[in-house]
Amino acid sequence: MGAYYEFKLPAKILSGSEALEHIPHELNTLGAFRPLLLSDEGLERVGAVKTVLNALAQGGMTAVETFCQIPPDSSIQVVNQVAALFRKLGCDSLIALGGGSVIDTAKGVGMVLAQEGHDLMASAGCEVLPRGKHVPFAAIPTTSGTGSEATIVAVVADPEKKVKMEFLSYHLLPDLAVLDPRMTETLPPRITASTGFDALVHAIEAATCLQRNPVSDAFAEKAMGQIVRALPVAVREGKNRKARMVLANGSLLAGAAFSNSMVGLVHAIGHALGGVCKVAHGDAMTILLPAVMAYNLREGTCRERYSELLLHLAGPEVYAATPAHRRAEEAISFLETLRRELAQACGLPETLSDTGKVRKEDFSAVAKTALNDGAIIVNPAQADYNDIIAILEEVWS
Amino acid sequence: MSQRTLKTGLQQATCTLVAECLVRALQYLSTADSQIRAEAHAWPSGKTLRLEVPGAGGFTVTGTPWGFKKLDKETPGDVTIRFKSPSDAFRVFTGQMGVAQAYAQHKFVLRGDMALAMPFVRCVDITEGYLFPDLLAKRLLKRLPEKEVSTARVYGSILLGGR
Repeated sequence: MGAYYEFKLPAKILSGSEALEHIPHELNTLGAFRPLLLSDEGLERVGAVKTVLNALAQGGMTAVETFCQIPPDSSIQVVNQVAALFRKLGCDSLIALGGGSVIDTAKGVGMVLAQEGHDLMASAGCEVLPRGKHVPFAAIPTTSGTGSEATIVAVVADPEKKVKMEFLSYHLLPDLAVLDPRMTETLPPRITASTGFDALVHAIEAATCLQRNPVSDAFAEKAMGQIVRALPVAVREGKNRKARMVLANGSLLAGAAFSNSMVGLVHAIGHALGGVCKVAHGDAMTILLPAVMAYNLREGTCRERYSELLLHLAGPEVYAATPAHRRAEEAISFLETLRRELAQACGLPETLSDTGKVRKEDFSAVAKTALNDGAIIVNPAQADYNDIIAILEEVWS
Repeated sequence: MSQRTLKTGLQQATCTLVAECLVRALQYLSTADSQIRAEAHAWPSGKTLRLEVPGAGGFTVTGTPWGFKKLDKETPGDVTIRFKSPSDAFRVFTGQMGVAQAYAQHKFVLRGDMALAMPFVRCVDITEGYLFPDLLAKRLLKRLPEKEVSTARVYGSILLGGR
């Protein structure tokens, strides 16, 4: 753990039954009355957008416009388009309803508006931007995965370069993180599993990478315990609101953890697989996690920390029954078992070939892109081009 | 002059000196080390990277097929790394802290596309492997690079202006 750390606590959290109905009051206290609601077509189709609009109406608030054309992998162009729409309509706040793509788009829009610019690319960087103009922003996650409602990170694609750009700024954090069980209970099992595994990877990488600190450890350790217990239940019983809320809170805690301690090699390679081969982020995380943990272990890092994590993952009985020198390997084995269980329950991919989106010829481009991903800096073990190729080979089939 | 001001001034002067040594070492290793040569060769054409230390100015480099090249003093960077304080930069430039540790401990900010900074970071890591004794380099780097020329030769090139 480093000698110095910084930690920004997450947004105000509205978590639980009928949390949506509190949004108008909260936005009003932030001086906002004319929100632009951002979402995607899928959520509009299943009625989630309508549920939010009804909840706003109960508090006397109407969205000036509802923009539902945000694609699964949003881009810089979409961000710039929405920022222009926000200005044209005279909106004063943002409500993002969706998964990582929608929330990160809203963050990008907020950043463009705050800097009074027109192009998100002008705001690229890490911790460099001044606050600028404050645009009140409520994030309503509809998956329990990205934790974006509690992070200072926005990932937005640059289609021309075939990369996912990472924007980091403390001013990207939403004002409100709204966790309402109605928003995740219709999520299909396959997506619940994939996004839930993403949240688990956030917790594990946050708890092990070079930027970890005492506060992020606390968030991450709590998060991983909640996620591993609630995820299989939420996959099997989608309407189980208790499991859904535990998972949603776990995802938020993991988001707050990694937002302040960053993530490592799983994400560096995962971002590259997303950028080059369009592998869904959660699927990439699921496939890579055990192999990258094993790699970190082989490189002589993380043994002590992975051993400690067994307690939070598998519980005190398993931890106590496992000899100290086997706990790190047992933690990896626990995650492989969880993944297999989820794969059998809903078809979660376990290998790259399972995704049907990657060709071995892509490995070189993936490895080169991963090497230039900022997440690789704080991974405990060094990884070069050949190491990444070896990991990709390992998870191929 | 207060003791604090004197200390800051010395730190800034040290950073200026070490930055010049670093650039010269990079220029030399662009021809002598295959990994740095490959990074310079693959550098996006015309893109610039600037490194700044508060109160001590900075330098701007670009990669070319012939190696890293230092540009005019005030050339802006497409990507700029700026240390938050002279003491932060001093710790990194004097081998008390590696680049990864400095990043993890918020010692600098970055403006621009991080992907452009990553090849430079890798090159600095390799260069530190040459410049610092193994015992010290092991504390700074996750993995020691394989040296393709002697450390004495790199220091010699610094004295000769990076040739």
